[in-house]
Amino acid sequence: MLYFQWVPGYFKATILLNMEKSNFKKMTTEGLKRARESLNKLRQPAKPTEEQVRIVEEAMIINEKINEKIDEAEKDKVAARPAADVNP
Amino acid sequence: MTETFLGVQPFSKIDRILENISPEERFCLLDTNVLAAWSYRDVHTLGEDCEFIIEKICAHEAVAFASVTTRAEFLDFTRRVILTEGLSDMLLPSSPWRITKAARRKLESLKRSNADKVARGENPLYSDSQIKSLKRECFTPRVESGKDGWLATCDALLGSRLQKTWQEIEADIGLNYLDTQDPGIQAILHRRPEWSAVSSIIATTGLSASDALILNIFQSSKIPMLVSADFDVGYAFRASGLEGSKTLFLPDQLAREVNKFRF
Repeated sequence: MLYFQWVPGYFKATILLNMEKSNFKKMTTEGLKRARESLNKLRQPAKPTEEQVRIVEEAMIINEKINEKIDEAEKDKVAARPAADVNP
Repeated sequence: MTETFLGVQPFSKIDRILENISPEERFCLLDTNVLAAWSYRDVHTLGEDCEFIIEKICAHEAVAFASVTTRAEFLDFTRRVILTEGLSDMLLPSSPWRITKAARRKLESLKRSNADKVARGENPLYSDSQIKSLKRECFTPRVESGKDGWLATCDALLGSRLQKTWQEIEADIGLNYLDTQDPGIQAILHRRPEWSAVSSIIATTGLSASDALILNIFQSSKIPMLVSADFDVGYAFRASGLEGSKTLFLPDQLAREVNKFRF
């Protein structure tokens, strides 16, 4: 339940949580420090395995070849089109 | 003169406000942008402001909550940070990755785009559409080849990091996950959060659905304070008439801007 209590100087919203605050975790300075260290560790550069490096490289090479073929096919299509289609 | 501690308040007033609230009542809900800015304060444009507010919450031993929306948005933010850093690192001479010229060109162009973002005062992170185009154009062959470089990249970069990030933040900084199914948490809700209320918030102010979800859980709860760094949340908070019963902390400049509106 939320109710308002007049306190000289300002209007104070008081909450009845029906629970002890100790039921919840509190932020602590020590916790913030630990979290910063953990985050810094998680942001260290990745160390990929040889297998991962190989898969990515192969995929990129295949992709580049496919893209080249697609680009060539596109060029051929444009060249084969009647001039009116190219410059309507 | 009567001073109110309700409504939109600047970060700089947090000491005075929390000192006037009894320790048993110091509960606050954190918006994703605050958590994201704090966790990547050296990268985030609002890092300094959010580091200040989190340290104050901590110093006053307040109890901080994060909703399911915050958790999902935070995971997404972390995904973008890790992918941006990991993919940019592929350009380094010391990188263990072997990338093609086309991929290098694409990554260099994204790097330049990130530099432009910094110049505009934005966060230097790849957007979702940039990540998608990188995946389709460089890492995942357009035909079935059995060589999906994107999955291997994600495994190396994101792997177990993503899950660990949330778990460690939750455990270390003392963040309470606002799980509405948890009977312990239900005690701090006035009412069950309803989708109709979310739609109503969106319809009233044009707020994004994720921000409306955060505002709705705040409205449905007995938590008296919300900490955000989002102008839209401030605007919707005021337009929804919440300022008479709750407090929203915003970075000073944003708070001044939002408080200028008359509804």
